[in-house]
Amino acid sequence: MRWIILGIVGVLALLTVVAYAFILPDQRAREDLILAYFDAAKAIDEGAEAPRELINVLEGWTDHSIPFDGALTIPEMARVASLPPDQRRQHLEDFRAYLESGIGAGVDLAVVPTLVWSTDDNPARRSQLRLFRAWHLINYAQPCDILSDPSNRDITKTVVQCVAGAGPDIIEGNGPAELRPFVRAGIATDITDAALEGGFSTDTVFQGVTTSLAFEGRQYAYPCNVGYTLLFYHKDLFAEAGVPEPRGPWSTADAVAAGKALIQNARNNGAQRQGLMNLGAWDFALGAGGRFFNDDSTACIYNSPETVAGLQEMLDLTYSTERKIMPSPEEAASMSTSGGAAMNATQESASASSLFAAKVAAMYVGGRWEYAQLAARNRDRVIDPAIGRAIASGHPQSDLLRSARSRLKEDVLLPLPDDQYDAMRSVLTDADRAAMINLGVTHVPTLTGTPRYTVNARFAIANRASPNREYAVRFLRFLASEEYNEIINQTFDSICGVPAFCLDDDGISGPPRALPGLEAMDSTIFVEAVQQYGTPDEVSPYVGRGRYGLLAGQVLERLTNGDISAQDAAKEIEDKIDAQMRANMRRDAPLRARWEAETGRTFDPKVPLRDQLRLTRGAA
Amino acid sequence: MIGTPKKRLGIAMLFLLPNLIGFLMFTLGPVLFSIGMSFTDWALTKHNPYSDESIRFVGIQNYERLLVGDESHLFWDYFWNTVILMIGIPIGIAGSLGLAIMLHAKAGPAKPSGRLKGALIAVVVGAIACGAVWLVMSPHAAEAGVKSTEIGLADMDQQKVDALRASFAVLITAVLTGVVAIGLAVGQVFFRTIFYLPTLLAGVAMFLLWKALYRPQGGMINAVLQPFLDRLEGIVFATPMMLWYVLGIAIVILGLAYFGLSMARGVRNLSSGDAGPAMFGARVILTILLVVTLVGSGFVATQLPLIGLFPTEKPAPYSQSRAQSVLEELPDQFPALGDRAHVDSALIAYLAPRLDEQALRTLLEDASQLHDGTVPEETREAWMSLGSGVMSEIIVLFDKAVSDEERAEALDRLKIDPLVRPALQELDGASLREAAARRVLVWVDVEPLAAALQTLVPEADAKELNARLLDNAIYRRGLSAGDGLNAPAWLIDAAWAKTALIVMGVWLGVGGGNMLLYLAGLSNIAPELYEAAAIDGASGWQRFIHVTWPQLAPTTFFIVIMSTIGGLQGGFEQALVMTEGKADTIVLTYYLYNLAFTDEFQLGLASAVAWIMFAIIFAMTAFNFRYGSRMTND
Repeated sequence: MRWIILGIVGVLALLTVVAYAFILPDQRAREDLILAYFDAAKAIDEGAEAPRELINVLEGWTDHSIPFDGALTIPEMARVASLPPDQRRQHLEDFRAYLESGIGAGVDLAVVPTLVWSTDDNPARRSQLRLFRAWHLINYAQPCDILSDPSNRDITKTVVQCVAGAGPDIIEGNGPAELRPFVRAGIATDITDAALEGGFSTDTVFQGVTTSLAFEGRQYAYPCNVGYTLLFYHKDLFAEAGVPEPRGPWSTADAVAAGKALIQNARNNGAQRQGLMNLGAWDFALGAGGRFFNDDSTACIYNSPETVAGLQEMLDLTYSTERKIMPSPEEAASMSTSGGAAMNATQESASASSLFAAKVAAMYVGGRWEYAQLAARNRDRVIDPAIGRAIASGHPQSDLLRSARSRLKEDVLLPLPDDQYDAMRSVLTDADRAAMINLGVTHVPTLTGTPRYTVNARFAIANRASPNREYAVRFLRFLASEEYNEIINQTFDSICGVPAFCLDDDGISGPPRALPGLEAMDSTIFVEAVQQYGTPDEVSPYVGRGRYGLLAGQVLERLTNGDISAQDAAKEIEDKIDAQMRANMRRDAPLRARWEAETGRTFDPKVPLRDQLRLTRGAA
Repeated sequence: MIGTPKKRLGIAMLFLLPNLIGFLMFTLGPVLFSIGMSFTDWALTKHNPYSDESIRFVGIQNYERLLVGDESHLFWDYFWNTVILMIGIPIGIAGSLGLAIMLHAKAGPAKPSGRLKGALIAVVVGAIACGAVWLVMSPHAAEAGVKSTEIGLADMDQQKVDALRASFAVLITAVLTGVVAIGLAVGQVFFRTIFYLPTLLAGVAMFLLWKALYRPQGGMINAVLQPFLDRLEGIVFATPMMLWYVLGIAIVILGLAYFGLSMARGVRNLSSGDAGPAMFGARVILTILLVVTLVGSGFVATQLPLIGLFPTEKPAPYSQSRAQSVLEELPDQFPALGDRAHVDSALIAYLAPRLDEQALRTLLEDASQLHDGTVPEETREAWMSLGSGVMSEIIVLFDKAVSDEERAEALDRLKIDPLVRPALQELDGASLREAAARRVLVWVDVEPLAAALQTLVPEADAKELNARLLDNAIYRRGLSAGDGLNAPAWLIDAAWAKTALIVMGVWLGVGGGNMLLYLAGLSNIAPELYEAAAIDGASGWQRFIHVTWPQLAPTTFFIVIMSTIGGLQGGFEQALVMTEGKADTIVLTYYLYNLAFTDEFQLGLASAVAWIMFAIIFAMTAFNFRYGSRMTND
């Protein structure tokens, strides 16, 4: 018995040693770093300008007097960069040996800085990391590695970690609500001067996202992408109901007419359908012209005729007999569970977007990032079976179809080469096209008919306490590069934040080729929306974005449930935010002094700010 | 003994040191530190190594803000939410005790052969039950190829949906009978394990499961509840209103009488020495629970017929000002009303805030036609009857009825006034919508409506009008004329969300640690006590009251203390996972977390919340010790 136990312990010890010796070392990360040289060679081969030092390193592999195993020229390296991982591995090992020899390059891979970016891990993000490594080599002739840290994205964790000096080098956040804590905590690096010098100031981005990047006149962040939602609709449902597709900006009255017809058409066919989903009270008020704060953000002015009209419109579209086209919260909850536990319905009904995909909703307010989900549905339900049928029947382009199929299965975001794309399209029958999602995209309807979008940026900031701060700031500069912004558009990661790189002659820039049925995802309306109708998320120095969002959210929830009237909701929200602003100023003398300096009035803690500033309803 | 006491103490401390270091560093240290924090304005975003601002001592300002200042409305709201969620604690404790007693009892055959026989019987019964369920629920109603009309299932055949439902029902039946069969074969240990399972599984997974169960439509709870409510609705509908009042009042009287009798007996026993304070306490708790249930049921019974009169607050969002704006357009839009507009002011003023725009327009249009005299007598009569609320019910049923036959059946079921019936049978879609607008009339009281109708139709006899309205049973009809008795929107509706969390909490708590403690307590009761009670001729209930309950008093005391503490600290995960803090379910711990770790990172204020919570918990525990421990010493 004793020997058996000793034997087990010995085997476990041996396995541990093997794991440490052969599996755990940071092979993969370094491999990414080596690959960056090949990617850089590819860029150089395609005409990119690179510093002499980098070219010397690359050419040193073949030019050096001492021959190295498997040495390649720059064009050969460029070709290797496009090979699948298993075919390029040996080339990478050869190049590593060359680098570590110190003869041609003198690069010590062990001391290469590694940036940690608190972001999620997905195929699109991995391609962005790969791009950055090559971009850094080309621009600075030095290697710089980068890793994503998906487990520390939560703002709570990040702030605490950063304050304790253990935060990531690059911090990701969303919108002004998340920027403010980082700035106030002194965690965010002020990049105003560096951005002006490096060409990535706020002047280069959509104006709608500036509040997500700058705070009180100083820039701290740069956008990874820009987030907002448009109206998606099923083109085939519109055609079936004989309803003309919406073109350009439209009003909620038009949307009601369309929605009622779509619902009725579904009923005639013995089905139930929602007209419109995922448009909240907040958006209705904004679309009607409502605002939270006056121009200098010194008072809350939410209780305005515009806000009330917008909120009332939401109620009408949710509850009124004649105009109902949206589900009540109760109905929506019955159709979905946010935890993904669809207990009594098909799996698709787990969220509003999948309800839309399942055509339970004819119109849905969503973002461009939802392409991946919709494309996967078209792939799995229509395209993949169609390709399978074609191959089984001996289609002459079976090889191309197989390649297309495996590429799509690997990742639906991977663009197909033209020949594969054309082969795939050619096997789709009319029945296939009818079965897939045929997406239309247009503006979100508003009460006034003029679209208005609150635009937030998913931003990155450089941790002020990071030992790699200089490299982190370089990463922000990378976010302003054409290559990065193209890859954002290309992978349907919403829209890039730099208008100069958003459009080309064919529509949204980058080489995206949406799968059949989803061509609308490349519509220029995405750019038009943010450029013409985008408006920054409202902030005030006198109340936190999170706090006023919480106060408003609680009341809007009751409104959406039909428990209070639009007037009462608008009044209650304004009263609560106003009380919070006054309470904050009462406690905070510098804040109070700032308000007094800005308004030229003496602060009275007992009088609502709107009254102190003598603002009338509806006029800021 | 080894060494001197000093040396022995040193050795003991050496062994305790790892734990002590951990306790001092990670428990006591932070606890003491947080006291200091609660007297500062420390906000992590303002006061940290990277900021120039220094932390200020603010005295009791944080406590003041929370208790009476600008945060007090939130603090007290969340405090009451916490307290309300604790209602489930005594129910859970009672359930744990009941379960423990059942699992402690030596039930079932003792011999292996007997057990096997029992299990086999359970399997056979289970198989028969599964077959019966399948026969009842199997998809025979829908024709092949007919698509489901249910939301989310539109791309499935109805037959398949029915088959899935039937399979699910069979599965549930099989699982339940399987549990009984295995339990009979294995014995009590199996049942104890089964009932303890929720504790092992408790957490986010359980919350998500319950979230799915609570879905308003399609959730399993409402799927079971709604048919029951539909039946109840039918019973209420068919029963004279007075009967419900009588029944309700009778139940209330019964409850109150029972309370008086039980208390009198308790006091008598206490004073005569037949029972101690523990017994009296148990009697008080049980009596209160029973009486509250009875009085509540009685109250519900009296209100049941009225539920339909105020089925929903949904009309409230339609603003009075909006209705007013319609009224202002009256002279232009409804010239037929002419100078009689003022005559209808009573009706309009009464109805306007309750109507949406379309409903109001339809009503006024009808009203103006009535004054024109262009409307046939039958229509006028019909209109009056419609106003009595019958129409609303038809709309509800017509919404569900697709075929003519189904509509006719609906009219039969409603026992519709023959006067109205011909008009109803001719209703097309447009008329139905118009009629739908009139649904709102069910919300009005009889008297103002009668007065208003008399104004509209002066020739109607007031007495007859009143009688007619009552005959048409606006109260009775109103029950289903509105939304009827609908199952709650559990986690959405603020009125039900806390109840939903309480029910879930009870389910999670009944079979948990409390049950184990009670089982341990029960096994410690000396059998001689039961034997002595049996010799004295005590019944099962008397044995429970006079032996089990007093003997379990220390266990109960411990459980009450721990549950109270846990209850005051609890609710965080439920609020986070199940409602995301919506539907008025934010509790103090959730509030504390929000203050400390979102937006402003107000560590000072959050620490003050923690210490107020500590004070409350300490006070309640001290109260329990002061008065509760007396019962354990009887």
